[in-house]
Amino acid sequence: MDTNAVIIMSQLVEAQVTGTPATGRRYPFLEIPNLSRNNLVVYAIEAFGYGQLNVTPNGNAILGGAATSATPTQTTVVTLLDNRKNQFVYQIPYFSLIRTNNGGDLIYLQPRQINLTDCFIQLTSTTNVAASEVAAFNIYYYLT
Amino acid sequence: MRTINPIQSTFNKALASGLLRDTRAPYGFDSISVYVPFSVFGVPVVGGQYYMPANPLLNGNRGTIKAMEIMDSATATPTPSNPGPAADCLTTDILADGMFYFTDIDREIIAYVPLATLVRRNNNGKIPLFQMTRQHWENCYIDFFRVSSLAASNGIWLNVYYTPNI
Repeated sequence: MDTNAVIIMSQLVEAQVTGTPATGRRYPFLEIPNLSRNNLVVYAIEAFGYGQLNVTPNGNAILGGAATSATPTQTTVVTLLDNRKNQFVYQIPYFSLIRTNNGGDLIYLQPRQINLTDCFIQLTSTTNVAASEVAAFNIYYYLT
Repeated sequence: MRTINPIQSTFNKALASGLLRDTRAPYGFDSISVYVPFSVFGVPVVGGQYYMPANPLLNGNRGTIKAMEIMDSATATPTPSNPGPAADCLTTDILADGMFYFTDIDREIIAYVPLATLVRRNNNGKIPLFQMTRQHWENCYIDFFRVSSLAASNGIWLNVYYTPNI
């Protein structure tokens, strides 16, 4: 059986490259009060490259937007922490979280509460990345 | 003694809880096409919030949305002229400037869905799956964050798969 995650509720989140882009530096996810509720369980995640979402609702360009390049999706890694500070996803390639690179599948996670502002991205190369661009994700969750 | 594969266990739990579902074509669901021609609203603008035409069948108290897709210009174009007016569907590149918002009756956003990810052919043929039970269809809307490539002759064509709540 070919399965995929079902969208119940979702929230768009961003991690912004502040200042001059630098490799290895941690760029945290921006705070979303909606995702700070104690009864909220995250079960899937999806990332967007240039081509899936060019600009976020906040008006921020996606990584590679200024250069109209998808290269930064291959030079960015993502680390997710749960509410116990466990790095349950450590430096997964951003590219791997993009739906169209996975045969259309969302990335299913073991359902858990996350600590959003502890999660971060890192660049392994700054090629085609401009200051203030963002990595954008859809976090899929349900309420208990 | 029985060995339990933790990955299989996780998978089975996700299936049982409805977080995962079979991605094969959504046979067995009712479907309806929804058209949003921009000509009705005039020249597209950033933050224009193009609301869905009212359809009680697609409200959460009457139906559960199980899947949804959007037609890009490589899938089907233009939209039918009845109900009109006909409109040219957008390319995936332009759809990447927009977002679909599921909202409830109080206009609280339930889910954000980038339009380009709703194009089935971009997802290896898999249709995006939903389990929407709280939405108020006429409060749901599309918004664009760049409109330089949009024209009033364009429009959105959605296909919504749902199950009526009996």
